[in-house]
Amino acid sequence: MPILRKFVDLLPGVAFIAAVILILQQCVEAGVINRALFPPPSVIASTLWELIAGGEVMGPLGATITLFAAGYVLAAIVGILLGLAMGTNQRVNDLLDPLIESIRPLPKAALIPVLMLFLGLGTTMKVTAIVLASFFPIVINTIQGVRGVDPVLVATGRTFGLSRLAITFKIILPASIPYLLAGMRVALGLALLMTILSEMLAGTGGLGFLVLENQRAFHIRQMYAWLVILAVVGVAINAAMVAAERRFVPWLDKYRVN
Amino acid sequence: MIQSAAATIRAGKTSDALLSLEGVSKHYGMRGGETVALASIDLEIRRGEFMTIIGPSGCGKSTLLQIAAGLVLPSAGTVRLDGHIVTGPPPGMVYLFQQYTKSLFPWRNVRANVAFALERKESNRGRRNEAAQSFLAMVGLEDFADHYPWQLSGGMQQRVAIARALAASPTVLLMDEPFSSVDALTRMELQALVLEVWRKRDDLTIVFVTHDVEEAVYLSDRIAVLSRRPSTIERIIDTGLPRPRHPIETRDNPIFLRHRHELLGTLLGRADAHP
Amino acid sequence: MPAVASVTEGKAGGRLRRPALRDIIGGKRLGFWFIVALLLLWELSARSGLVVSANWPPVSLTAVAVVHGLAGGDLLAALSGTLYRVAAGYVVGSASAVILGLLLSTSALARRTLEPTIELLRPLPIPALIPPLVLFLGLDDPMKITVVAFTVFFPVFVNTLQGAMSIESTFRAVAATFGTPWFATMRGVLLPATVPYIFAGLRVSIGLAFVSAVAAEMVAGASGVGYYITSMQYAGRGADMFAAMFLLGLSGYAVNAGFVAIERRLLFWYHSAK
Repeated sequence: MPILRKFVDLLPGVAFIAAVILILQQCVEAGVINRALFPPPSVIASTLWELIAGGEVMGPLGATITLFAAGYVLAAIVGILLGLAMGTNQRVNDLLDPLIESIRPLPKAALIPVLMLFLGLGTTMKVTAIVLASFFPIVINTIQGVRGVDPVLVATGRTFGLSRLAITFKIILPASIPYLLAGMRVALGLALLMTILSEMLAGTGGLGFLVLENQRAFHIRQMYAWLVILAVVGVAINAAMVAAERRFVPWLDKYRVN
Repeated sequence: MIQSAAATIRAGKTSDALLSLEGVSKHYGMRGGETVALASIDLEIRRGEFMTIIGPSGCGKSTLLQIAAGLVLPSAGTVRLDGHIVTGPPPGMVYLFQQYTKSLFPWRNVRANVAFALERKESNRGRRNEAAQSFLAMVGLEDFADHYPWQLSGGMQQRVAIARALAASPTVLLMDEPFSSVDALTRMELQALVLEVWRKRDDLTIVFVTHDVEEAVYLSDRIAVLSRRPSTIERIIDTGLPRPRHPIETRDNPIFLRHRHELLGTLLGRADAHP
Repeated sequence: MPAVASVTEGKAGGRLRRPALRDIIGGKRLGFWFIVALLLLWELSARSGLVVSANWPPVSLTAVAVVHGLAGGDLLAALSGTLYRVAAGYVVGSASAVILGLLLSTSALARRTLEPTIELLRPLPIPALIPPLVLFLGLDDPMKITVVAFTVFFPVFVNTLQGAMSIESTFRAVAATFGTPWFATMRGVLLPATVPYIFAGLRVSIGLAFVSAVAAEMVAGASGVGYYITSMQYAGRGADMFAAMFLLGLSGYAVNAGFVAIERRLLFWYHSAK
């Protein structure tokens, strides 16, 4: 019964997407949309199938996902540790807060050219760009979370004889998770954006590079096919984040922060 | 009454002071608007006894208990546990918070919340969980080990908090109005549970804070009455009620009724209530 | 009873005032001096020849470039172009998001029909959108404004819908009780009640609007600060590149501060009711 219900709920949405694809197909075939700029969806689908069947997809796909994951995980580690330090120690906060607040308003995309000058076009530059962009929301939300931890929780740790360090990692860190995850959700989008943008600007490979390169070479079918793959990657990464939250933070539903 | 009835029942217990507060005072605020919460408190709690601190709301009972726990430093005076001066939360003394919903960890299930108290002593996770399970059985929650605290009722959450406190095997348990936000029947169940736990462990000393006169008389060996701010100890009553206490009969006992009458009179500030 | 508040208080000490060093570098001033020290290090490393590179000009030269840039010429034109596109895309994107969000909140069927599509498009990384849009809209303003609008749309839409849904039943009750016409209720009840949520989405979108505008300018070129920064990078004019970044950051800061000020004035009732 629940499956049937779910199906009925999904039906209008799926029907809408199918209708859009069909209408596009008709429009292209009728010449309403310029075939040179937008090939029929069926042609994009077959190009996509060629890419997958030919095994061309795996390399760039793996490169992009690895790059994204490296940058995002690094940003999370640095952001959470710094957020904990700044949230629990006033001196550290006094030292770093003005610097962070003065860099924060800079649109991080603008950092890529500078990083290219100093770090070249390789992985180091790209990972640095991703970390610099996605680290800010994580730090700021972690600090907010740490400051919002209920004093009773900290006092509970003290009455059970925990050291300051143990209180930080066993109590303050888990208690800040709802805020920390809110920051990580924002950072997820930024990290993906910087992954693709740095691939485009560096021009040395990856899904972002392929989309731009195929456009410039006027391989329009291929461009759309790679774009579809990129869209799937975006959806999959978001779904993975949701699944990871459910799996590892089952208590979040009660304490969610947006 | 020369000797406390409870002391005779809890045979083998010495009546020396385990926890003592000497000239403890607490001031809030600096420069100008200073409030004196606690004037100068001298109090001795004996090994193994059940001592209750009662007073009108806002008299600083909780602050006094937090000072005793080493969670808050007094403005003046000293706290000694077994002769050693308390400057921070000492091992062997556990504070049970009034806000149990806030003191349980929402990210740990019930078993892991209890096991938390064992983490410094027992490094083996399996043994820790086993021990946690037995403490849960002690409070009647062995079937709820896999639940999360926020899935339980208020009374059950407080049971988890009690199990966790017991798991730390404290010599002194400090309880801050632990039953003030549960319904009347649950409160009676929890009172019975605490008395049961205390009876089973001969060396356990409990300091209990409440503003409920009946609760104080029903549970305690001795009751310290705090005055209004700035608070001092107004008097100390030796209840002399026989143990084990019975949830219905003890409350009909003439000694119980007399103490209740007297204490209410003191707290309401009515001289005519004194016999 | 200050029962628990007292648990968090620190040690009683610190009452004696110790002036001198502590007052000069204590508190937030510490961070200020830290920034000054970093800038000095930058200046010295460039001047002393520790780092010899056209890409690493002394801070002082960058400051000169900022002043020159503000006086007019390419940089100012590029910056104002970017700001125009950010503003245009922001208005288009957020307006359509608010309208669609409010409309969808009133119909479960419409939500079920459109939400899957929106959820599929939302995670799409913005830069990926630029190449196909270039095909249809060219390299200039229409393409870049569309990119910004697309970026801004999602956070505003999601927040609007969420906010409107949370008060939707009240909205219906009011409309039913007073017999107020549909459109009047929408404008008079649903919209104002949703405003705090809309603003939450709008605030997140400011930063994203800037990022996407700069990204579009860097990928597609032709104009704007993003393009200016990349071309200064290629030209080896480090001072001009850093000056552009500085002014871009400053604009981002100013827009954000302006937004917060407006939000405070408009939403004082919301914040004081909380």
